[in-house]
Amino acid sequence: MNIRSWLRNASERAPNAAAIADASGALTYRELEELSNRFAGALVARGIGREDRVVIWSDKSIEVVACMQAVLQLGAAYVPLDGASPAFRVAKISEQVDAALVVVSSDLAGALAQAGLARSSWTLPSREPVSTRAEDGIVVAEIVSRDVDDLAYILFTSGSTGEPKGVCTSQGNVAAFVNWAAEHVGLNAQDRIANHASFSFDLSVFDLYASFLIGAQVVLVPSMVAYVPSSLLALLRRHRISVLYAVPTAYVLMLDEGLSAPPGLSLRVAIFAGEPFPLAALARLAEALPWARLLNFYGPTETNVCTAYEVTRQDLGQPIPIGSATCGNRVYAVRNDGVVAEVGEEGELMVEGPTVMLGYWGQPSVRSRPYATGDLVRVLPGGQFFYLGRRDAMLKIRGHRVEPAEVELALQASPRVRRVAVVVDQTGEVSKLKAFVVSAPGERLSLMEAKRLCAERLPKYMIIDELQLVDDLPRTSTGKISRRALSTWSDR
Amino acid sequence: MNVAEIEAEVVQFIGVQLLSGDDAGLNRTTPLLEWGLINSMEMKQLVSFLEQRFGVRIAGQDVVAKNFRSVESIAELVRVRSANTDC
Repeated sequence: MNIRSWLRNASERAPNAAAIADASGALTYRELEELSNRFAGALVARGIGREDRVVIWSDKSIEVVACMQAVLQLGAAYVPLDGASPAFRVAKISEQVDAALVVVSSDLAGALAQAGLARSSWTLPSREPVSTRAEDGIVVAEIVSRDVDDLAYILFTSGSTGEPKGVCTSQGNVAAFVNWAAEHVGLNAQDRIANHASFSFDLSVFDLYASFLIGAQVVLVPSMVAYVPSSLLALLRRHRISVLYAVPTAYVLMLDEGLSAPPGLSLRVAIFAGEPFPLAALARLAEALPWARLLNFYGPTETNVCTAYEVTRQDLGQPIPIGSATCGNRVYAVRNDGVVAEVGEEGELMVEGPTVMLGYWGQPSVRSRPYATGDLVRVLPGGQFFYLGRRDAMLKIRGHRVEPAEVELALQASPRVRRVAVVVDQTGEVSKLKAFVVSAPGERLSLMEAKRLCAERLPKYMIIDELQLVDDLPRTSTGKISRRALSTWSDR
Repeated sequence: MNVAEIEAEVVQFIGVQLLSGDDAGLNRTTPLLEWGLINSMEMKQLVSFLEQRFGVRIAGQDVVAKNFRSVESIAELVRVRSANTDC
């Protein structure tokens, strides 16, 4: 098997069908297939082969997608990092995964050179020359066969020791998820799927691979457009997007920007995941898209989507469940005492099955054990679950899990900071990452400096939104920082 | 209004409105996007400010990283757009 075959098959079935579009253009399936084969040739010329890891550092583009396909084609695995990631992090992760090559977009090549990375790199060619010449004259058409347990890509998530953790996803993991998702959503070749999430976020796996599996078109939303709700709405209208998969925050911001105003959207399926949808906003979304299916997906990067729930109009106004098991997984909750929770009881959500990751990079495989999500749920009748919160200190912000320690460590790099605690402020419809800082004597940290400290070491989603200077941090009776007390401070 | 004046007003707006006055060291070359000083909410406010204060129209396709990288690039965008809207 190889998940790379999906694009190949689609290009043979319907070579002239629209495959992909980004801000600067669009390619048919035949063109995307040919570009991927040329990039595979360029990678072979740089020594890439089976089992290698290739880091790709770039804003999203058609070229990046072709490069990801080329990496898979050679039996290697890719590690996607956003263009907004700091060079420091790119260098660290490239060392960590022992990258055979770092692929970089031309606008970031200078920054990569400055970061002093001791690895070979390849600057992605920009669009114009690509359409007219073969990279280094080599075109590789062969697709290397892979086993279900072979590595496809590594996505990095926040780690408690301040070190990012690489989630290793296999070919079989992707196949199990994408086959389920395409069928559950009822995708067809006429669909136009917006890719809202960045490629380093697992939501993007649905957008790209389900499109290729079915032969639909995927439209890449540039990160700046994803930020600006009016621009995002304009893109959804311009491309007559029929399927969108995004965090609830993106929908909430678009509702405030006139999602319901004419001309109407062509959305037939609105999928969300990553955080609970604010109830009032969900009712507004249902009213604005009366014909659309509303799907609530749940799952950490380690399992991709492991439960799903279809929101009905009768559900509106009450908290919605995360649903029941998907993708052939077995999902259950375990109580504090280790016993499997019954209906009505609470416990930690556990997942076993085909979408559970191989393991974290550099650590032993966990395939043989159930994956403990760290999420607390209540068991509902009919195999459904309701999300209650985290059982550890991990924070959830706009669909990303954040270890507060990783952000706190970045802020402590400043001599102005004596003590710091990071929490999520959930008082508004849009959650915010907030730092409480006790300054060193006679010093004062500014919000701008705090953001700069984060930006130097962390991915964009871990940059704090707000800063509050305090005289001291609240403590529990055992002397630990009381995050519960801090979350009520946020309410003030 | 010259570019230096536009830059001064944009620095002031970002400092006061978006950073709540907590802006020590903010200047025309501060990397606004890279440091996460501007996100969805802030971008919306900033674009309306630019449109109202300088009487320009900022279209969806103007909202790209190269135009909002720094105060310097925002002022350049305003300059170009106000030159276009004279007629």
